[in-house]
Amino acid sequence: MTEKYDQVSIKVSEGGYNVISVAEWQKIDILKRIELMKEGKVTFLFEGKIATLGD
Amino acid sequence: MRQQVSPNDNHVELVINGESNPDMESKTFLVLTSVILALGMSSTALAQEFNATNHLWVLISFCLIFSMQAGFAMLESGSVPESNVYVVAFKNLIDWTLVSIAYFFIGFGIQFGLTSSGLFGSSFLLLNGLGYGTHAVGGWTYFMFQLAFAGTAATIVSGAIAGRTGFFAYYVFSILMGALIYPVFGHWAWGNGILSQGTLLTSMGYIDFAGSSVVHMTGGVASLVGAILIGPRLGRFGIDGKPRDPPSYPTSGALVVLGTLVLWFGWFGFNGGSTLVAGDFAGRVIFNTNLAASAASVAAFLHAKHLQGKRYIGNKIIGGTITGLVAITANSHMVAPIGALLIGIFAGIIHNIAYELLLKLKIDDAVGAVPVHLFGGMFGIISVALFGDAGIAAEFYKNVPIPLITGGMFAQLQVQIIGVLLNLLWVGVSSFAVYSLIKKFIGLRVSPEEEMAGVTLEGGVTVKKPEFHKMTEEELRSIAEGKAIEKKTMKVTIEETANERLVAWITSYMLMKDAKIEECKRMLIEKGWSRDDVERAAKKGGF
Repeated sequence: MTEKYDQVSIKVSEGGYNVISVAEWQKIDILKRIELMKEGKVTFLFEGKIATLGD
Repeated sequence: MRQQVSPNDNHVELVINGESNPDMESKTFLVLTSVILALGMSSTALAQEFNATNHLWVLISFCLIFSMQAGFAMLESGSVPESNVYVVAFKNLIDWTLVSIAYFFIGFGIQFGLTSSGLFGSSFLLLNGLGYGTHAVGGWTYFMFQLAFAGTAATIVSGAIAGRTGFFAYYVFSILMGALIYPVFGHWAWGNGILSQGTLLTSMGYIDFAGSSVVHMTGGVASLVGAILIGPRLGRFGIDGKPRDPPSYPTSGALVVLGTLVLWFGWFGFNGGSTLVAGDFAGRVIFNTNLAASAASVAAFLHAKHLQGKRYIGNKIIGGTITGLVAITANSHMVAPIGALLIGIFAGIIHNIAYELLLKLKIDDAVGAVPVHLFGGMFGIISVALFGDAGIAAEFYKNVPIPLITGGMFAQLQVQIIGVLLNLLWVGVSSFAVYSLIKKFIGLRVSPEEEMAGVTLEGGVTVKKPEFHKMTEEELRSIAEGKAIEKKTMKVTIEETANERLVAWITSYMLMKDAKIEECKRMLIEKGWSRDDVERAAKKGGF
């Protein structure tokens, strides 16, 4: 089973987030993306719900 | 151009059979003066008495407009899903408090202060120098009346971006709306409100009687820019691009209708009070306001029913009615009754077309603020030229030359179009800049978890997210690059006691994984849920 996402939510500040498209997400430098994920600032979304990438 | 009624215009106007009778007026005035003098009052005191009537009228009008804040709170909170009712209503309280402070500090001065090249005012900051006798009503009364307009412009935005916008982001935007965005365009269009001076638009003869552009277009443009930059609520549009119904359905139809009626009530002060003079002219304005709203309501209903397949018919009747109110706002002092009727009919139809257009463009305007305030406002401004009656305008503006009287409809139309374009430009660019700064430094939205559970004042639910730091670099890179990965190591922990909203969220979360019913239940129990909570979740999720 594979999972996918169509939007990405990124935490900007305490209580402040932005939702961007996959295209916008992929414009961000790859290392920065990984860093954001490691910091727990990224949530992947699919069809308006939280996407789970594996269990 | 705000209005050109001066304190000296306060006079007794006697109307017999619908027509003013100057002879009777003079006689009545003399008799009244004699009586009052006989009672020991001077003519100055008499003037003050009439002036007091105007003050009373304008202060009552302020209170009527303030009640619109309650109308917006009811309309907006009734239009959003139950999980967001409380916070949306709350935003209508918060924006009033913030705008009250921002407008006092700087906004009023920018709007009505001594002009700098016609672009912005630079006196009356902190209301220094504001006194009595500056216009038909004194400075303090005028400030409160104008504050009500500024508050309305800000609160329009709260509905459009409801359901996903963060509280702090909205605070910041409201402050800048009251301190900068609203007052600057207000200066261009109404900068001669206290001081006799020409500003960018007033010097051209631009007419926006009570704020179709100054208040409503400003709120509408800011709403549109916000709705685009913030993005739709999660799940508002399906993968096929079609809107999903539940988010747009009102939680409380009764609250929506009551809110609309409260707005309508407040609008009598919004437009009627803008004469600044108590008298029958205010009566004419209120008559036109009521007629246009009624016509718009009927037109929106018939149009939605017969030409749009009854889609969202309730929303369109409500929105169409308010669009009628918005459209008549710029011109209610200078149109004949038939003009008001036509403005209302067109406004209702324009609303419905704009409503569908936004859905087609996948712009999520949670309460339909953009069709009402932006499109209704634009139409109202243009209607000044299209439906303005030069005779009635001359009666109001007296010796002030306005393009409609001196050059005809096309001369006025030209100026009105310039005003519309300047509003779109200024509010569009400035609100884009403000939203962009908020997006970069604060973030415009709440977390997805909070959005799904319902935005709260406290800051949402605490659901632990996937622990990305435990994944390998290869897996992280794979996800970051947008590639699907094999289901494997990630562990999701849910550590929150079940409450109603969380149950709903967890249910949708589980369903999204395509898990079987029993598997869902088993997983929830493994995560520490009680069997009762699991059954409740199962019931709520419909599986």
